Amino acid sequence: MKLLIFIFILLFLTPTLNAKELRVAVATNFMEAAKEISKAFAKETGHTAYLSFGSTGQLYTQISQHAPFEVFLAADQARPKKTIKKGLAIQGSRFTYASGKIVLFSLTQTLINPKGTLKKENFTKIAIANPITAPYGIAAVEVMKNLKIYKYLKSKIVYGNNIAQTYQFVHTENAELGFIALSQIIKKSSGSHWVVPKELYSSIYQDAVLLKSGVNNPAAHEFLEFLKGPEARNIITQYGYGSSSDEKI
Amino acid sequence: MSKEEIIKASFCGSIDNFSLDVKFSMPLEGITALFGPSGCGKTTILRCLAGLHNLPGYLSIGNEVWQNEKKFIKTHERSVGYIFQEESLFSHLSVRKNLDYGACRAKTHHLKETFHFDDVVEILSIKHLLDRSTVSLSGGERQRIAIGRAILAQPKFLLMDEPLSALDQKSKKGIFFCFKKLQEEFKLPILYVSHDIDEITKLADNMIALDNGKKIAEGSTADVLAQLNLNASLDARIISHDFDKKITWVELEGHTLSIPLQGNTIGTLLKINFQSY
Amino acid sequence: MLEYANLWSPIRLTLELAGITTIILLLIGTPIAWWLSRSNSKWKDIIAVIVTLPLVLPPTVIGFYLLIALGPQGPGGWIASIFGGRSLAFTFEGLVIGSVIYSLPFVVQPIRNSFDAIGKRPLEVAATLGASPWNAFWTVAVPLARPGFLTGTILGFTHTIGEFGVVLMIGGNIMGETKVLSIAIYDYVETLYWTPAHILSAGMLLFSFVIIFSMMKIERYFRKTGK
Repeated sequence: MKLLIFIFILLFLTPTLNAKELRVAVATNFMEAAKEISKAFAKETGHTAYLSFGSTGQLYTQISQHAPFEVFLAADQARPKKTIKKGLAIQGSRFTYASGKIVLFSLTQTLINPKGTLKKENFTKIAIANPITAPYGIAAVEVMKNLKIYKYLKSKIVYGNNIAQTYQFVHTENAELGFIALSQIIKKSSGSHWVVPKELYSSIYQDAVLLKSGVNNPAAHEFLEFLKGPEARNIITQYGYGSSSDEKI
Repeated sequence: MSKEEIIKASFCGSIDNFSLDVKFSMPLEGITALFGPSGCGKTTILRCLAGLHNLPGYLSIGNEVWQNEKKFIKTHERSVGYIFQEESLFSHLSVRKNLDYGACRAKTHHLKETFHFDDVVEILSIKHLLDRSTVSLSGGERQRIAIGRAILAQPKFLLMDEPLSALDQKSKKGIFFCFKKLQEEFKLPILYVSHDIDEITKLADNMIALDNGKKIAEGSTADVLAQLNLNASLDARIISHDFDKKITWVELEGHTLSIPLQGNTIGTLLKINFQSY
Repeated sequence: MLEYANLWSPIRLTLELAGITTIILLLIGTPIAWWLSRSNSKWKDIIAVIVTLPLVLPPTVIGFYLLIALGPQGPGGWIASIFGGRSLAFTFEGLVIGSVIYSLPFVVQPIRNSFDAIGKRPLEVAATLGASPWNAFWTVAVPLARPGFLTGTILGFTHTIGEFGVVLMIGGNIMGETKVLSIAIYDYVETLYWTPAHILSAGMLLFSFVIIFSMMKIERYFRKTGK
């Protein structure tokens, strides 16, 4: 009986005794979803995930300078691939955790209708994330080019440092509208938006990867496993992303 | 300007916890001394006359009213020169430019004769300093230039706030000499502030005595000195002793005088006080 | 190599921004400095603190409030509408406003200190010599405050050249309009184009060194000649 109690207590205490921390670099568009996921993760495993946000390019630069991250949640595939190529991440750990959707958003209720706002050009500034560092910016440019309006709109474009700043520009109405991530506005009801049809841009596959400094941290491994699991996928879908199961690497 | 013209002034008020309540008049000619211990309000009065303080009161120069209940003429519109106690030359201008500063802003229409640059420079012996910068001048040189600058602004009268107190003996003598010449050549009335009785005795024709913000005497220098029981004193140097006759010979302003035997050695400087009955 | 073609634009833009900002600051900063130096008003301390604020506030705080103030929700939008625009954010003019606020204390403080150092006496002397307050200001106060003007000009100019946080918040990174040197370098570093980053950064370092060195020499010259 005493042995049973002892084992029971041990099992109960083990998670807290082994409570670990890990540092995760997260692409800004995934911020809200990541916060919810890490809360659920903490509840289940007792581990604490410390999240840092930035544009994918920004984070990649920091990682290449040996910033102490253990897991990298990017907004593209190119940079996670690069981290593996440069020996900064573990071979075989890369997988697609979400596929991003972009929307055209405006604080003004009536500005955006699902069909023809962009062509009308009745605005002075349109905000996108800086394509050099943010994959959502690249997608925005692609959309405009596919709609054959990039040439005309180029002079009206303002660049946000990352997708969050892009949203700020639209939210303060300094830009009448902008291309942002669906996840940023899906839980809000203000303004008007147009979910851009998938055909207009190459899929934004968002890959995760285990970084070298996380290889000996069991919490890091567990986090990535959790990310593939049903609870996380549920959260990801709620935020408007395509879940990883229907996309291929 | 007739000999009857006078300056009439009265000020009553307080500044920085100091209360002033005076009423006086002085002639628009000669040197009038403003005398009193430190802190009695002499500088405050000068500043009120110049318009640098605005205490309630009255001020008229001859028949020009510079201040009454309804009016207050600002400093830069008053034709009055002010010699400050300390360093007041403009350090960013050469000596010549300092002198010109007042000259090109002078209001000359009220005067029949004006003070000319060459005359002023000559009398104050500052010709050799004209192209120097103000940085390396001695105290005496600075004050002479300051006086010249004030005169060249063509004032009706000059205010001098203890102009010699910051100077050494040699410089003092030099400027003293200038004062006398200034009086004779330019006939510019001067109101001269000092707490040094000897200076006043040597220079001033008239005198106003103050204490603690109030006037206590006014009139000719001799009268006021007598009124206040203040002694004029002179410096005398011991030349020799005559132990038989029990007298000491002293040299006093070029004269020889015998006084009762003194115990001091030959060459000692004595101060001898003279009191009137 | 396309990267190198874009090196000149941020340099030109930055020099223009710093130049215009410094001129504006001298024009509005001088009366402010004079008032702070001479006034006895009860508002004096409050205004002094407000002027000093940009010294201690993080540039991102300034940038954040500016983003709102310059847009349609703030006074900037109203000003822009006079000229047919919607917002002053993402414009060179908006950057000028931001830079003026950001560099204000760097120009006002040295000038005010110089005015303080002059004291009351020279101006009283000028008044007794017939100079009106306006005339005395230009012929006595300003020449005597020359060291302060020099320091303020140099500090205002170099501080604006180095501005980053504020521009990041309100610039929108538009080449030829708001992409200043600090932003360009940041972009190059972000995208690992380190050669152009080196070129621009080393250039800025050298420039700052030369400016500060020259300022020291000029100050020393003024002190020696006593003017």
